[in-house]
Order: sequence, then structure tokens, then C-alpha cells
Amino acid sequence: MAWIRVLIPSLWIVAYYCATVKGWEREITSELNPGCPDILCNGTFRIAHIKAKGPNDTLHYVWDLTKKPSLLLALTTHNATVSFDWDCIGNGKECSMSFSEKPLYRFGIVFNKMWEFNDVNDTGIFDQTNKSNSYVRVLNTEHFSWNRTVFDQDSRSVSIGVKSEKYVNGNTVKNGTVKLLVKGFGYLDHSEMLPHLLHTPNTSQVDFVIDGLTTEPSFSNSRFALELVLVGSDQTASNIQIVEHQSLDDEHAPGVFTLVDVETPDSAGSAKGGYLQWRPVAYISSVRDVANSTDATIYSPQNVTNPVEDLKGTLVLSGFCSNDTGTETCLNATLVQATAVSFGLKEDGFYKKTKYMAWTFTMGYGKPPDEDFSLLVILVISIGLGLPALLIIVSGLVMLIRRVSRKKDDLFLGR
Amino acid sequence: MANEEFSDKENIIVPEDARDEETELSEYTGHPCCNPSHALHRFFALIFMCLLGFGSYFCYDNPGALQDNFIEDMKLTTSQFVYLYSWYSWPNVVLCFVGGFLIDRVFGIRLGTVIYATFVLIGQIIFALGGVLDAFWLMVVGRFVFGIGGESLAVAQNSYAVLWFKGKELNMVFGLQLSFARVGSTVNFVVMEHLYKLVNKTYQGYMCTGVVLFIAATTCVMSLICGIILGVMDRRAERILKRKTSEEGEVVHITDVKDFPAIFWMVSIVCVAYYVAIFPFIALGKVFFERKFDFSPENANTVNSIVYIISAVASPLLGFVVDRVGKNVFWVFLSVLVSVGCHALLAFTFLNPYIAMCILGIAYSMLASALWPMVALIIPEYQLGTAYGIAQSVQNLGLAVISLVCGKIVDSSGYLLLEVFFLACLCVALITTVVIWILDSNTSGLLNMTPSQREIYERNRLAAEMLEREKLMASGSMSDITPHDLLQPQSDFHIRNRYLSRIGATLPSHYNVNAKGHAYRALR
Repeated sequence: MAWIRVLIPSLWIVAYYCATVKGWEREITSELNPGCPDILCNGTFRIAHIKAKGPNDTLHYVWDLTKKPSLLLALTTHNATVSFDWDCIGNGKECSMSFSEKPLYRFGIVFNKMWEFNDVNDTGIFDQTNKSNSYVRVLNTEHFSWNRTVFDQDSRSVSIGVKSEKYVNGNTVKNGTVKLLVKGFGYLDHSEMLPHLLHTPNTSQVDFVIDGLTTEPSFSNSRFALELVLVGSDQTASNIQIVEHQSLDDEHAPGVFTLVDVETPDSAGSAKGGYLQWRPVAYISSVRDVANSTDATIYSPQNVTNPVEDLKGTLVLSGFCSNDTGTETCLNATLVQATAVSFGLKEDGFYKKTKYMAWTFTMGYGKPPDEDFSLLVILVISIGLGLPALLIIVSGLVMLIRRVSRKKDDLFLGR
Repeated sequence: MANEEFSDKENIIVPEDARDEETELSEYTGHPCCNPSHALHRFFALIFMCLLGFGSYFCYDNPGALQDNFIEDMKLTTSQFVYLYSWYSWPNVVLCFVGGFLIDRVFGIRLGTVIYATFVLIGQIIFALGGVLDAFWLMVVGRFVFGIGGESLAVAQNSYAVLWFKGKELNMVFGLQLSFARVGSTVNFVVMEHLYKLVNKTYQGYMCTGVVLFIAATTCVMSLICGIILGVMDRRAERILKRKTSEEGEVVHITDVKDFPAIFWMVSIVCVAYYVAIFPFIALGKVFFERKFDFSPENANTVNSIVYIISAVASPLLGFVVDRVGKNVFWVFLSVLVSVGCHALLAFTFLNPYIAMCILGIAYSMLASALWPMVALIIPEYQLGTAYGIAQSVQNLGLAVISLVCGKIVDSSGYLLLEVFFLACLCVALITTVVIWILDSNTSGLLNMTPSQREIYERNRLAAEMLEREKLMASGSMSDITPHDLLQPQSDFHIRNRYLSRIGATLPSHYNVNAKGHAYRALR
């Protein structure tokens, strides 16, 4: 078995070189609270603007925590600039943000609300139709108080993390931490952290953690779910699609053989739209591994009944509607749908087991990337199967030749 | 069998004791089931041979069957619980070899079997006592003692099978023993849960665990009794059949190990490389089936255990086929190749895993019943215990190490890479099998003969030995060394014979080539 131990590291080296050589990159620059006067921001983190400059165009990510956490992705030419109006931001108006020229494409997600539901029958499935007070409680993400914890950047990537340690909404007070970590990438690779999602230069990654959040005392079997509102400037009048595909390869996310793509119509049709991608897995411990995992279940997207209400005060709304006359007409002409993701699996012991839940997804522009067999797998298989085949053929030939030559010897001796 | 064998040799030289045997045998006219040379008697012994291992296989998985109860009653952590298995398996990396050697050298098979069965019993009793006294360390000691006996008992079981069935139904017997091991383990899983509930009405907590383990120890008592009966039967058979035991013939030395033929080591490699793709795979399989194929936990358990269920049924049947057809290397090659296919199906398709696992079960049974008897064909009987001990030690080592490696692979790189790793292991097994095939066909080709070819081969070989002996006796001149002799490989035995006859010494009776025949008994 020793040869395997020698082989694997050397294959890794080969695979690493092959992986680093190919592909193009975007150059990442980022700014926190761009242009914010001290009176307003004074140490608190409100907005991050990440620019990813590629060979042909620029991707802007605007990560906004003034109200509900939201992330806007906009594809523009190199010349376009983004300006923020802090007076408008302070008042939560649509004039908060504007582009110097109309972006080529815009895609936004809003962490609209969190649900805590009481899964009495241990199904692991969230029933969105049941609005009963004994089944579900809504947490409006506006009422978390976000503080920045992480800000790391270099020219290839940037990480910005925030966390909230308290939720206060009227009489409802919840202790415990909710964390969000956004990473912008300018190159193609798998992310370092499980489930090692594949990111391209057109992708950023969002990591969502609920750690030690107090649960509703009257709920015996609390689980959590999250509502994401997706907004796209898609030309095609169609719905957001969810494509779950099975992959043979779980090399990057051990034990998870499914990949979920949430594609806007333009992404599905012409690869010129926004998408979300994730592995349907959530981790129930800060030590992420197969044993500490449960399911992340997605529910089919639905139209949002009152988009103005849900998007109010977020920069996603300004990103789409700042240049228009009326917000309502603007949103009516825009694709706005909501989808839910619930965390938990039958018989996993509910949230109370570890009081920890982490889920990761990527958000990007273009076609969701497909996972391929890694070079390591291909090499091991081809060597592993090729070598015996070669040996069998060669030994077969040798035996044949020997047999023929032995016959000659016999003849010779017989003479 | 003996009648026919000796009548063939009558025209050469029949040594004194062989003549005696012939007369005594023809005189023995008891009932077939009491006649050691009759098949019925052999199968009578087979029952005891199978039951011999039942106790140790039953008790080995006691902790597994009662995992939750153990952890609760004894207040164990999961890692502590794992000690109950690791203190069994790690010492056996060495102890198997020692156990096998001691059978050959010191105890002899009969005494050895009884001693090892006693160890198993004592180990289980200490284990149970640890439960009753709520002393976890005592339980671990019990498992250790149990391990000393358990694996060596398996070596003894193999040796008994060879002693009684070589050249007859050996492959089938190996298959049957394998299936009995599975039955033992399965019965344990079915029975222990109910037994625990039953005892729990009277005793609670660790007391209950202890009492249940004491009850389980009765299976070890049964095995010990089987060992004693088997010893008595073997003694009687030896007396009646005039079978030679190793004390009279050649004696194994620890240094003989380095002279074991290359093929033996190759067989050990196949053994490790193949079994690695079965046992650790099944240990990790349940989650794999749940995750990749979306199976419910119950369904995943079923498909995971199907390999064992099939092997319990198919091993003896396939063993029977191998007995009739011979060609062991071919069967091993075929099994490994089919297993490669099965693992490839599991790794690279979403095809219902029942298909792959059923085929894998058959391939595994085929390999188990064709591979182990090969050792008996290449190693002389007086070294056989040592050889099986080594093979099992190597296997234990391989499995223990690779199981750890597999866990790491899954955690870091997932099940696809695990499957790829298993495929790589199977490819090593495949290559090694091909090498065995080549080595074997370059020498005698014994391993890949049909049973009738083997019989002819053995007869010719015995006749050749006889001829040489005759030549040695004939004169002291150089004329007996023909060029043909010089071309033949010279064994120590022949050189010594030649030397002794040169100086005019009388050859001791056990130097008689016929008597040595017991070491390479005729195969049929």
C-alpha cells in the first residue's frame, strides 16, 4: 500500500499546478461604508462595496446591513461607477444608491426573514401553509443588531463577516449569535471551508450560522428556516428554476452527492443571469464533517405578494429602482420571487441537539459551474485499472512466447 | 482413500508401517459414522469444527449488539466503547502468528485448540465479571484475553479443516466455516437485544449487562466442549489411520518463515488488499447508501449486510464448486475482477446498489473459499499453523491500519475517493493474483490444476521421491548422480538423506519418504 501514500501527494502536486495554471481572474478591491460621514457611521458597519474588475467588465457586489441583510450583484462596463447617498440611506429611501450608467445585469438577494417552527412530528420539512402560532414564529431580520467581525482582503479575494448577538422586536428578545460571512472571489477554485463549494471569478459566497440562539420556550422541537427574496433584471419573463442534480463526486463535500442550482431565467437560458448554488447540507457543529451534518431543504420559489414591503430600505431596492419614477411600477416590471430553505433532517435531534446550524451558498453571474472529477481521481483510476490490464496483456504474451519456445526445445531434444 | 493410495505403490516399496496401516484399515469394520476414513465420520467432525468457532464469533460482537445499553449502563463514551474492539484486534496483529506457531511447535493441534478455546471462555468470563462489578478496565482485560484465544482459535480451526479435508472437500469446508462465522455473528445481533430485555426484568444497570454476558459465555463453553470432542476424535482417527503427527516428522522453526515460498506472501497480500475493500467498506457503507442513494436507514442497513447474508449461503456452495473444478488461482482472479466491477458500479453509477452488493457478496464468498485453501497447497502441513497465523496476522494488521485510513479519507475527501481507494486496493490484489498465476505456472502449476491433475501430480512426485530413495540405497558410487539429478532442485531433506546413506548410516524410520508423505498428502 506504500505506493499509494507516495502517489497521492505527488498527484496532488500535479493537480495543483494544473488547477492554478488555467483560467482568468478578476481583480478585487473593496471599501467599507464608502463616503460615509462620521456622524452616521462612526465605527459601525453599514455597507461594503466590492469591485471585481475583469478583462471585459466589472462586477459590483453591494453588501448592505442597514436594514435587512442584502447582497446586490451588478454587472457593468469598466467605466460605470456606483455612488451612495448617505442621507437617503439614513432615511431608507430608494435614492440611496445609483449607478452612473445602467448596469448590464442586476441580481439581488435579501435575507427577508427567519422562521422558527415546531416540528412536532419530526419530519424535517417546513410547512409554509401552516401559519398557526403554535407552529411557527417569524423573526424579521431587520431586528438583529449587526456588528462587523471580519474584514480581510487582498487582490484576489475579500471576506467580510458580521454577527448579531441579540434580536429585539417589541417583547420578543432572543439571545445567541447569528453570523453572516460574505466572501468575494476573483478566481476559480473550491472554497477552503466545507462544503468546499466551487467558485468562479463571477461568484461570491455567503456563509450563514445560527449559534446558540434561544428557542421559543413553548416549542419542543424547534427547527429554523430562512426566506430569501431574489430579485433579477432578467429579460425573459419566466420563473426562477430550481435544478437539483446528482453528482457522482462528493470529493469536495464528503457524503453529499447533490448540487442545488437556483437559476434565474436568463441564467438558465443564455447563461447571462444570476444564480445561487449550494450543496443541500447544513453543519450542526463548528467542526464541520460528515458526522456533524444535516439537510438543507429548498422549497419551490413563489411570487412575493408585497414586494415593496419586503424590499423596503434595502440597497437591493435602490439598485433596481433608484432611477425609476415609481417603486411599485419598477418592481412590477422586475422579477421578484421568494424561496425558503429549512435546516434539519428526520431524526437528527432538532436544533436543540447542538444549538448550531451553518449553511453555505454561492451567488454568481453566468451559468452555475459544474463539478468535474478531480485530476487525482482520474489518475488513480487510470493507473489502477490500466496497470493490471497492461500486466495481464504482457504476461499473456510472455506465456505464449514461452510455450512456443518450449515446444521448439522439445523438438530439439527429441532429435 | 488409503486403500487405493497404497495399492498403487505396492510395486515400488511399501514401508513397514504403511503395510500395518493397510491391514488395520481393512480390519476396521465399524459403522460408517465411526469409521475415520468414511465421509460420514468426517462430516460428523465438521459439525464440531464449525461449532468450535461459534462461541468466539458470537461473543465477539456482543458489544456491537448491545452498544447503546453498554454506553448507558457503564457510562462509557463512544471512544471508550471502541476500546472494547481495539483491545481485541490490535494485539492480534502479533498474537495470531504466535498462536499459529505454538500449535505447530509446542501444543499440537488438539491441545492447542482446547487451550485457545479455554482462553476464549476465560476472556468472556472476565469480560462479564467486569460488567457485574462495573469495572470497565476489567472488561478491557477480558476482551484482551478473549482476543488471545479468539483469533488463534480461528487458526486452529483452519488447521483442523486442512488436516481432515485436504484433497477432499477442503474448499467447501472453508466456505462452511466462513458461513458459520457469519451465522454466529448474526445470531448474536438477533438474540442479544431480546436477551437483554428479558434479563432487565430481574437485573438493572451494569448488573444486567454482566448477567447477559455471562449467559453469552455459555456459547464459549459449548465451543470448548466441541474442541475437546474434536481432540478425542482426532486422536482416535490418528491411531486408526496411523496418521503421523508433526512431533515425529519435521518440526517447524521460527526461521522457516523466511523460507516460505514467494507465493505464500503473495497470497497474504491478496488477502489484505482484497479484504480491505470488503470489511472497512461495510463498516462505512450504511451512511454511504443513505447519502448517495437516498436510502432509509433500515434499507441502507439491509443492503449493507447483504454481502454477509449472501456469503453465509453461497460460501459452502461455491466451495463445493471449487472442490470439483480446482483451478483456485483462476477463481481468485475472477472474484477480484468481479469485485472491481462491483465497486466501479457503486462509485460511478447511481444504479440500485442491491445489484452491485449481491454480486459483491458472491465474489467475496468465492474468494474466501478459493484463497484460503491455497495456503494448504503451498505450505507443508507441519508449518501450516504458522502459515495461517501469519496470513491472519498480516490481514489483521492491514485491516486495522486501513480502517483508520478509510475514516480519514471519508472525512477529508468523501466517498468517491474512498471508492477509488478501494478500487486501487483491488487492483493491487488483481496484479498480485496475476503474479501468483505466473509464478505458479512457471513452477509446478499446482495451484491452477484440476483435482485430477493434482492427484496425478502428487503421485508422480511421490514416485519420483521413491525413485531417488531407491537410487540412494543402491550404491555409494558417483554413478547415481545423473545430470538429471543435478538439474532437479535439491531439498535439505534429500541432501541429508544422500549424505546419511553415503556414510552408511541406517535411515531413521521417519526419514522414509513415504512417511514424509504426510506433509504433502495426496490431493483428490
